Amino acid sequence: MRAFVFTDPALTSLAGQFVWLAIDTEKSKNAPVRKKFPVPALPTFFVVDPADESVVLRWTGGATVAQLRQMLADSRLAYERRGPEQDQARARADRLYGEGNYAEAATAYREALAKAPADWPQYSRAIESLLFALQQVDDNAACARLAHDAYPRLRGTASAANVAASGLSCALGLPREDSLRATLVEEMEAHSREVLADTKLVVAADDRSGVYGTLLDARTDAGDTTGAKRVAGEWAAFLEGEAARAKSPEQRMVFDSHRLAAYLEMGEPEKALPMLEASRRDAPDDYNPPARLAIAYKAMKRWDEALAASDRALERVYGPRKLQILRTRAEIYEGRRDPASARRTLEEAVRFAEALPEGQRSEASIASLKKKLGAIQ
Amino acid sequence: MITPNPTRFCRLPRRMVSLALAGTVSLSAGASLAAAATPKKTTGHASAASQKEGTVPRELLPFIKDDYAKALAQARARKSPIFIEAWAPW
Repeated sequence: MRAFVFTDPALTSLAGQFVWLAIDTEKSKNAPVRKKFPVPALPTFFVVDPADESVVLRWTGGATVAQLRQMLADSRLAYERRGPEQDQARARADRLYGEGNYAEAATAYREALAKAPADWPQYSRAIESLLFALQQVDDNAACARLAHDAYPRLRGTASAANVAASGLSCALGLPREDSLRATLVEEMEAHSREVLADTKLVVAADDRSGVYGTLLDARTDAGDTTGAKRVAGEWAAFLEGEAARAKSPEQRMVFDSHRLAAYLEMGEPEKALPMLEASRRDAPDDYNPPARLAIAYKAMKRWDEALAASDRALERVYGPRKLQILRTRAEIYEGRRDPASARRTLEEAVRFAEALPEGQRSEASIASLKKKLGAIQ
Repeated sequence: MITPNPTRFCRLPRRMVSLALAGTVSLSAGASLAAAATPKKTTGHASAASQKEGTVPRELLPFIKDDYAKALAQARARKSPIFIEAWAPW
C-alpha cells in the first residue's frame, strides 16, 4: 500500500478528513495498540472514532485506490451516523467485524444485504467482509455458497478476484463427502481462471496473486502435480511482470516474497537469488532480503550460504519476525544434520517468544515452536 | 508465526496462509501489492538516478508514525476519525 496506493494523488483530497497513523506492529512500543486493535493479518486498516476509541471500520488486506476511497467514504458516513437504513446496518456489521465478533458480524452483514437496494454501492465490500467473517468462523459451506451467489454480480469488478479465490478456498475446505464440493470447486476454479484471464481488470495485485495461490491449492487437491507446477509458473510470470513495472527498488521489492513463494512451488528456488541479491544491495539495512535468501539457499541445500544469510538477517531483525528467522535457521541446521544446533536455536526462539510483550506474544506460536523442538531427533 | 490468528491469514487463501507462515509471503511492508496491477508506464527497475529525478512516488498522506497517543489527541481536537495502517516490514 505504501509503495503503490498511498502515493496516488487521488488520495490527496482526503488528507484533511482523517488523522493518519501508521503502526509498525513489530515494534514493542506498539504492542499496546496492537492489543487494543487486534490484527487478524497484515496489513489491516482501521478507522477509529476518537471519542470512545471504537472501531468504525476495519479492512484486512490490500486495496486499490478506488476501493480505499470507497472504504473511507463509507467510514465517514458511519462515523457521522448518517446514511439510509442499510448503511446503518452495514455500519453496525463493520463495528462487530472490527471487534473480531465474526459470527454476529456475519448476521449483521446479511441483514444489511437483505435491506439493500439492487444498486447498493456498498454491496461489494459487504460481500468481501462477509466472506472473510465466514472464513473466520470456519463456515466453509456458507462461504462457498455466498461466493457462488455473489460472483455473477461482481464479475468484472475489483472484488471478483477475492470472491473467486475465497470461494475456491472455502469449497476446497468442504468435506470430501459433501455432495456439492466437486461442483463448487470446479465452478470457483473457472471463476478464478476467468479473473486471471482478464488482464484489463483493475485488481489489487495481492488479490490477483492470491488467486494463483488458490488455483495451485486446487490443482494440488486434485492430485494434478503437472497442473500445479504450471500454475506456479504462471504465477511467477505474473509477478515478474509486475516487478518489471516497478518504479523504484521499494516497489520492486514488494513482490519478492510472493515471487520466492512461486519459485519454491516451481521447485526452482535458484531463480530467486538474483532478485534477492539485488534487493540486498538496494536495502542493505533491511532484514527481509537475507531472510529470504536463507530460505532459498535452504531449499537448494546450500547450507553454509543459508546460514550466512541467516546471520545477516538476525543482525538486522527486530520484533516477532525474529521467530520465523530462527525457525528457518533451525531447519538449516537440521538439513546439515546438526540437531544440537537446531535444538539450541529453537530454545532461543522459545525464550524470545515468551519474552514478547502482550499484544505481540502468541501462545500458538510458542506452542508450535515447542512442538518443533520436541520433534528434533 | 506473527499473526494472532495463524489459521487464517488475511484475505489470502489457504495456500498463501501456509506460505506466509513459512516466512516467504508478505502482505505488508507497505508491502501490499495493491494497485500494482493497474497498468502504468513501464520503467523497469528504477535506478538511483531515476529516484533523484523525482520519478519515485512518495507517500502523500500526513501519516504520524508509531504514536497512537499523538494521533488520538489530534483527532479529538479536530473531531476527525483516525485512519490506522497496521503494517510490518516483512
